[in-house]
Parts: sequence; C-alpha cells; structure tokens
Amino acid sequence: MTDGRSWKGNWKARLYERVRERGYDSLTAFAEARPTASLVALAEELGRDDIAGVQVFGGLVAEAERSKQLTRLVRGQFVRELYACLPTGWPSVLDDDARLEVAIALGHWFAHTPEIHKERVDRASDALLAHPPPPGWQPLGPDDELLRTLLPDEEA
Amino acid sequence: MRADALLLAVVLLATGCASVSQAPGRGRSLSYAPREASSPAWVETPSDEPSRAGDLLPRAFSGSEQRLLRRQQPRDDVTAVGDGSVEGAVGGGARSAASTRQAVVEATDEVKGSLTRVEAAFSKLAARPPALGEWGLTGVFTRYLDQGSKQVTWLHGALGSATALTDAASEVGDTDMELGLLRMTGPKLQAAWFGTHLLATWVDFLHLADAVLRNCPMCSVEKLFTDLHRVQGMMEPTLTDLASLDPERVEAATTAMPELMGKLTREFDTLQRETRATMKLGGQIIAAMQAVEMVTMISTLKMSLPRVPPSAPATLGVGLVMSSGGVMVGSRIAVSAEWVEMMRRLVQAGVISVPAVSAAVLIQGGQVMMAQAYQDLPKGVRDALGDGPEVRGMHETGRAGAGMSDAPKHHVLPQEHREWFEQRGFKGAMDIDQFCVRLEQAHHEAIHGGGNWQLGRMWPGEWNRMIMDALFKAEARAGRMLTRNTILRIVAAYLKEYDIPMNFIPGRGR
Repeated sequence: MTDGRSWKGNWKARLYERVRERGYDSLTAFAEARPTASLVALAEELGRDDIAGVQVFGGLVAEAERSKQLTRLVRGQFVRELYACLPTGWPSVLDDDARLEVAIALGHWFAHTPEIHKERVDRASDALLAHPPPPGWQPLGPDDELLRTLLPDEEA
Repeated sequence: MRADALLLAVVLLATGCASVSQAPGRGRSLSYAPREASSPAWVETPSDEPSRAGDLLPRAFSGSEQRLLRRQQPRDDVTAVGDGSVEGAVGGGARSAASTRQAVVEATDEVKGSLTRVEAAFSKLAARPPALGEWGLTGVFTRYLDQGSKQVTWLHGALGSATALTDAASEVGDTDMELGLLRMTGPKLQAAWFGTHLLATWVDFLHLADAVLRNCPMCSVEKLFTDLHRVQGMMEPTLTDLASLDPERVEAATTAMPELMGKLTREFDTLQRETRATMKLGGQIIAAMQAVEMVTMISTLKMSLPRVPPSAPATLGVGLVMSSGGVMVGSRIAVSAEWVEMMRRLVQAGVISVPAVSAAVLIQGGQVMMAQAYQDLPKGVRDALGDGPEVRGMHETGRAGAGMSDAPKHHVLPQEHREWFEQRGFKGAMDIDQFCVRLEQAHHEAIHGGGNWQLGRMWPGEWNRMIMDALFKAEARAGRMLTRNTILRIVAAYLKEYDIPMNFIPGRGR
C-alpha cells in the first residue's frame, strides 16, 4: 500500500507499459499466468508503489468485455478469492468459523462480479453451499472442471 | 555549557536545600529518575535531587521498569509500518503493530496514572478544612476546584476511547488495519496527555493559592481570586481545543503548549513573588514564607520557573542534548532514553506527531521561557525520535508539511448505511464518522467512477457498491450478523485494493 500514488498521472498508460515490460501483450495474459494471485499481489508485481489492485481489476474487466470472456474472468476471480480466504482449500467441516471464511470469499467474489453476471454468481454460490465440493478442493485456474460446471461459458 | 551546568547545579542546590525540611508530605518520589549527574562537589545535598527529573510533565512521561526491556529490542523493527507487503500476519508488520500497540498501551496507562494523581490532588485540596481563623480553598474558590473536575470528565472519556480503539486493534486480525486503528488513538492520547499536564499545572496554582490563603493573611483575597481567574482564562482555549478531540485542533493546541507553559510559568512566578513581598512587608515568620516557597518544589512548573533567590533564569540558554541516558538539559535528564524510545515507536507508526513530541520535550526540559512560539528540537534529539520526511508525511493531521491536509475528507464506510454499521458495533469512538480519509479529488473520483476506463456504464468497481456488496453478501452467506472486526478485516482488503492509506480521521456525518 502506498499513499495514493497509484492514482497520480496516467495510470492506465503506466499499467499497460508495465504489462508490456514483463512480456505480455494483455493484462489478461499477465493475470492468467498467475491464476491464484490476488489483485493486490498482481498490482504489486506491476508496480509496487504506483499500481492499485482495483486498477488491475478494471483493466481485466475491460479486456474481458472486449474479448467476450467475462465468464472466464469471473471464474478466474473466484479462484483468486478462494485462494486468499481459504489457502488450504475448501474446509472439511463447515463449522461457524469455516463458514464465515467461505462467506467472506463468496462476498468478495460477488463484489468483484460485473452487474450482468451477479445473478449467475449468486446461483453458483447457492449451488456450492448446497452441494459442497470435496474437502481440500482448490481450483487453480478458470478451467477447473467443477468450477466450469458451476459457471459455464455462455458467451458466443 | 560547563558554566551553564554549574549554574544549574548551584540553583538546584539552593532550591534543594530549601525544600529538605519542608517537604515531608510530598510523596512524589520517582524511582525511575536517574541520579543527577551533578559534580561530586555538590553531593552535600543528596536529599531529593533524584526525584527532580521526573516531577515535571504528566507522570505520563516518566518511566517504568518495563521500558528498560523494550529499549533493548532492535531499533529498526518498526520501519515497515504502512508497508503493503506485510499483509501476512507473521512478518515484520505484525511485530511492528504489536510493539506499536504496546507503546500505545503504555502511554495510555501513564496518562491514566498522571490523571489519577491529579484527581487525588483535587480531592485532597477540596477536603482540606479551613483551619481556625484561616482561609482555605472554600467559598468563592470552590469554582476553581470544580473547573478541575469538569476537565477530568472529558479526559477520562478520551482515555476510554483510546483504550477502546487499542482493544479493537488487537482483535482486528489485519496488520494494516490494526495500525490504522492505533493511529486513531493519537489525537485522543495527545489531548489527554497535554490536558492532564495543564490540569496538573492548575493544581499547582491551587496549591499556591491554598498556601497563600493559609499563610498570608495580608495578601488580598480578591487579588488572588482575580489572578486565578486570569490564569484559568489563559488555559481555557487550549483545554477547549484539546477537549474537542479534533485532530487538527488538538495538534495546534499541542504545538502551542510550550508557549502557554511559558506564560503560565511567568504567572506562577509573579504570583509567588508578590506574595513573598507582601509577607516580607508584614514581617511574616520564616515558616509561613517557606510554606509558600514549598509549593514551587512540588510544582509541575519547577523546571521552567526562574529560581529565587537568586532570580536567575537558570534554564535559559541551556540547550537540549541527546545522550545515552536520554535528553539532557545541562546535567539533568529531561526525558529518559526509554521515554524517547517509546515516543520513537509512536512517531514512526504515525500515532503521535513529531511536533507534539517536540512540545512535550520542550516542556519537560523547561524550555518554555523562550520568546518563540515554536522551537524545533536539536537535530540529535529529532534523530532519536526517528524524525524524517516520511514520518512527518504519515501524520497527516499535522499542520506543517503534509500536503494532504487540505484534501477533502471522505467516509470509508458509506453513510447511507450508517444504521447497518451501528447495529454491528460502529458506535462511539468507532462510529463511521471516525473512519474518514483524506483523498485527492482525482483519487476520489477514480474510486467512485473508475477513472478513464470509459466503460460506458456503471463502473463495477465503484467503492460504495463494492464494499457493501461484499459485506451484505458475506453476511447473508455466513447466516449471522458480521462482527465489527470481520467488517474491518473485509474493508481493509478493499482499502489495500484501492490504495487508500489507513490514516483515519474523524469527519462530519450528514
């Protein structure tokens, strides 16, 4: 975290310049190469003091909309949130504490979902809690099989 | 320098002698204060010299044994403060948060201790019955005692808030948020600190008045009443600013404290000198004279008061010097190295500002008789406090230097959901108005509007929506009300994601 330096100057240009410097031609490619990293971690890798996580998020959404890969992005975001909140994977027993962590992860996921997908994310979350995945389940990318059944690609 | 030290020693000797037989009831011994480093030639006054150094300022500033332990810890373990990479709970960040919390707890405890002593002094004064044929602080003077208890109420409130925040900080489970909460204690701690010191000074004036009333039948009661009224008037604006607990007002009042203490010292000295003259005129017996003199010995103002006789302003021109034992004034330790270390931690974490600590050191060192309103500390002392541009920048409420101090304040927790937050424990010292941040216009627009992404529709990352979506959804999925700590932990994640520093200041609700 810095003192708001991320928002100074042309940060969008700065963001893409850093992505190119690291050898990627899109933010999506950069992010997919780090599928479990949080938005904050991605931002820190791009610019320790002058890139914010939400800027990465905004860029990813913009790219996904253009390439009609929003559902994939939403799945990818689930992976990041779950990894951050439940580093050892899906809890074996859903007691109060474990349920709270799952709930927080699902809350973060929902918050990071563009409006048009919020309802689907809600249904997927319902399904996940109604039929919990095996203990230790930890999707490592947007192509995880279970994750794809929960939130299949819709876009043409 | 040597001559100054010698002069100081002579003066200390003079005053020390005067107080030997007259100070049985002072009970203000302070175990921590190192022995005066006065030259062996003067050891014929072993009596109460050691207690001198700690008598000044709120006992808040005096030390305790624990601090000796803390002092031995590595000096650089707080440098990671505010560093986003310390997200993990085990890094230097967590340790630094713990040591900052420890420093806040100790500072709070010390102010509490001073306040307790001040309160005790008030009740003792109030309880003293007017002896036969004598006056005491009764009748019209009771209003001056009441003035004290009025202040005590808000001081306790401020300390209570600081404690509540410190407790919350220990439970929040996010290092950056913990430091953010600890920084919120700063203005409260600072206000209580200096408020208690002013109150202790007021007690000195009341002691003096009491002594005058009892021992100087020829002194004018009306004049004394007026004098006290004037002194009270001098303290009032500062006390009001401190009681507001508004970071900026507290900071301004704090940095002006040395000047105020200078004025109060002058008042005290004048009052005492006039009394002495009147008593001499009336041929008062020595014992009565000494009773009035004695008040000086136990006074908070002792270090800054000009010594009489001879009326040489001993501390004038004696600079503050950093030594291994602490900050020295001549041969006397004004504040201990342990105290400096505690302050360094608070300064580095952004809890207390450098100007506030400077003011405390100046007062403690008796450097209040200079004409300047604000005098900076010598570099050696500032270095010991860990002063530096980044430290000054962190304490954004400071008037000087911080470029953000004019940027508008914004609520971190959306005001339209005030009630929701209230129901989950955001009340009192932790209501949502306490969680405001200063943001540059561009930054503020960006977090609400997504900057220049030009998505052509509502930005999915809009701050209020983002955090309320996360909170509402988490609560619904958890199936129970979120606690305040969980909410703060969730919000902390977004503050990091949006690059909003956790420097919370109070703002006005709508």
